[in-house]
Amino acid sequence: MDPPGHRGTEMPKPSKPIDAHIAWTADYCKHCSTCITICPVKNLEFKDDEMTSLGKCTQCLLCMKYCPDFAIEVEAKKK
Amino acid sequence: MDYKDYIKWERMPTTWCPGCAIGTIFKQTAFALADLGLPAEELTVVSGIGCSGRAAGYFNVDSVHATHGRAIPVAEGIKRANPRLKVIVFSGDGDLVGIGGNHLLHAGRRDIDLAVICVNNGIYGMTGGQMAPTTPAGEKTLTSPHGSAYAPLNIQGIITSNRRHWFARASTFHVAHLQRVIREAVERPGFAFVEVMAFCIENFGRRLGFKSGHEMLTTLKTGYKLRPGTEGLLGDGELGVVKHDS
Ligand SMILES: Cc1ncc(C[n+]2csc(CCOP(=O)(O)OP(=O)(O)O)c2C)c(N)n1
Ligand code: SF4
Ligand code: SF4
Ligand SMILES: [Mg+2]
Repeated sequence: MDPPGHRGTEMPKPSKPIDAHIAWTADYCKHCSTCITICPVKNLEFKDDEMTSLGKCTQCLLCMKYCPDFAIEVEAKKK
Repeated sequence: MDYKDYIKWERMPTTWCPGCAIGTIFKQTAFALADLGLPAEELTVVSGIGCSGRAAGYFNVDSVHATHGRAIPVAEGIKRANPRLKVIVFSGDGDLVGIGGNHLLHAGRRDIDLAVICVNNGIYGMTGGQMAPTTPAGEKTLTSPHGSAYAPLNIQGIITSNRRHWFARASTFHVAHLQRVIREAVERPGFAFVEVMAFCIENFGRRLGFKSGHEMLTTLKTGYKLRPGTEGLLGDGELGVVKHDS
């Protein structure tokens, strides 16, 4: 039997860490730039169609909350 | 529960255009469901036809992609047959208040236990950007090239004309509030309607000169404010909840 909640569907495609806290999934990203614009510290940038982090992430999670395509994940701050 | 449990990953990425508001609303809905911790077996999502209507097929629960305008009566049938289920309707403005408007009137009047999440992008997105009953007055669309001559339908007015009612207006920009009202709508026993102010970049925004989805997202930031307090109806540009439970 499938574990509850999963019902046989695959889990997300593998993401790629782009710094210590952020992972980006090329297979899901539609290059809309919403995350880049919403980031209050201008931490994100595309370099040759690859998402890159400039190492300034404060783990505010805004890019993760707005990305319409589940393509960027940020680790929450440890309490 | 993790929000990831509520997504059909093998169907990702979605068909939605880059930067479309629907993806953010879909994601916030998954967050809200995870917060409530509802098991997939106790949930059903019903959509009508449209870009927003695609959502039913992306939730990892039993769902129905109903015909255009008929999401609410299909959802009501499911609820009546199996009252144990939480039934959520996720669809567009054209689907729910345009062609499906009559169902909205009567499900609201009878206070049927459904949570309706309406993506209001003011347009028929999927079919190319035709004027909808929700298009703002004066707005240029494919079928109103000189600007819409009509005032948009007052959804809040329709819902709150019923003695017992629950209506929320949220926006794609104000995500914390959006997630909270979706949660409340799912929890409310009775008819709960969330109007989510959204946008369609490809078939509406581009015609108006917008270059990207996030440029349209910014107009929601400046155009809408959370209303302080809970008294009376929401004014234009106000987000919040209007309810009466007895
Ligand atoms: C009976 C019927 N009439 C017309 C259509 C064509 N049609 C498909 S989607 C749509 C409008 C959808 O608008 P909305 O619900 O606002 O969704 P959006 O694409 O904007 O998210 C229309 C008119 C149809 N599929 N079925
Ligand atoms: S918001 Fe998501 S889909 Fe858009 S560019 Fe960023 S990671 Fe990609
Ligand atoms: S046509 Fe408009 S509403 Fe439909 S997916 Fe594209 S941007 Fe979104
Ligand atoms: Mg629409």
